Amino acid sequence: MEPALKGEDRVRIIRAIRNVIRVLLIVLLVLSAVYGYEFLRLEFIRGTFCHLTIDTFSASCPLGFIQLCLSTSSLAYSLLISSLFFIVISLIFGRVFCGWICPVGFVNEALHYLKARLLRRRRSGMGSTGPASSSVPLGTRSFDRSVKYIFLASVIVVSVLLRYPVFCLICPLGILCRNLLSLSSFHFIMLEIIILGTILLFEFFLLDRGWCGSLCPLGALYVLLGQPKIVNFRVKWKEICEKCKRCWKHCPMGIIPSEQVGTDECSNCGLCEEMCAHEVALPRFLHPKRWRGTLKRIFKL
Amino acid sequence: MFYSLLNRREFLKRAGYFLFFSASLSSIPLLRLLFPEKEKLIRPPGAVVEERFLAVCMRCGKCVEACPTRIIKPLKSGFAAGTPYVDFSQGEICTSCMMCTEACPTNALMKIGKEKLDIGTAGIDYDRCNRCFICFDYCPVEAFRVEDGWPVVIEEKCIGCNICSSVCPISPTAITVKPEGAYRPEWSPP
Repeated sequence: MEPALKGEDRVRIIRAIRNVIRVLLIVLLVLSAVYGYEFLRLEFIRGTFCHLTIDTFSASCPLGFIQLCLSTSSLAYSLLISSLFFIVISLIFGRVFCGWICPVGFVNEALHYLKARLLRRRRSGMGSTGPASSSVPLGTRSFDRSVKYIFLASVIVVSVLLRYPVFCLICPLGILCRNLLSLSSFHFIMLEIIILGTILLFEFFLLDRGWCGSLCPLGALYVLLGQPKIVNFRVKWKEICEKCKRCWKHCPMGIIPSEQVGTDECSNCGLCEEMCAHEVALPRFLHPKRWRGTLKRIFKL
Repeated sequence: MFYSLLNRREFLKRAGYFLFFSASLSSIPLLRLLFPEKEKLIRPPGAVVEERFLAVCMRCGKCVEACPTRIIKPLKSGFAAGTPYVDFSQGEICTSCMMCTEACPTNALMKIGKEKLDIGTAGIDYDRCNRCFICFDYCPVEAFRVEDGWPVVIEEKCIGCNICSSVCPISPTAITVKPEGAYRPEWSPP
């Protein structure tokens, strides 16, 4: 049995679902802040991705929980329980938060898409025949992906030494959520939006997905938590893979799926599956990996 | 196995990254020591002592969303940007509903009872007071007394709910709530 070729005009269902989920989450958070009190009856949705409550279910940022515990040298049980949600989904699906939930990742991907469109228009205007997708593959331009683990380590060390949750001050996810909330309910934005803007401009002009791929300590935490993941996109038909690297060009995390390089970082977004000319990459159940080799792989020891 | 740890160049590069990140992360709290905030802010009910409050507040905005009169707002700028403060400038009041303390996930707003609520103290501008005593009538905790025909705030009783200011007939109001005398409990983990 051989996988069939995909048509060009096929519906990209995974990407559609993913975008709908991410847009819906942002819209619900914003709407619950603006009109929820008056007539939409969205009082059951409260908070942002730092701490989110939907009716009786609550989820909180695991890095925030770790920093809070370290900086106050105490264990916050209720936060531990609420941060379990993101911990458990990353134990099963790997770095799925980055690909399916994080609004900063969504904004980055939207900018990235926009940039690819602009570049394509310019290139077609000049009359050259570039590839259909002219996004520059991240792998050629990213710097050392192990930098984010060093960032995570320094976040933890500094929050212990200064007894202060330092990363929460510059977390682009928190800043984006806070500013959406204040913009929707009080019509002002805070000064700290400059940090978010800097990160987005950095991504747009210097490094595609440079923050998510190489710098974000939250992403690093999710990669480390997601080591024993049991569901992941993997190349299924190695013998017919033509190594066209379309999957690599579109991968937001800069993984080369056809060569199985950097699959620790995979956010299970499914773009490789959608971009593949054959039906090659499919989510497969993996053998549970051990955490032991992780540091060795990351730092290439 | 530990080749790259022994490899001096790789090791120095990573140590350099570590030092750079640590320095830039710790510079933010250290900058605050150099440029402290000038004015104190009215914090929401049950806010723990200021230093601890800045450390444990997740800036998640749940108290902002929970407040029915919308007096809790995130701070716009500065080191504590995103932390909630109480803004009485629109003439709204604190109804002592304690929804903000219920919403707080990290106990930055401790779950104190209504009887312990105290977010500030009202101060009367005697140059503009016309001695109508409406504030005296409306105060829910009877924190006013009369002294030589003038209303005087009893600081121990006043909880800073801003009701007196909102009913004051003078425009702009002759009573403003200040953060002094607020009850700031010790933090305990949630």
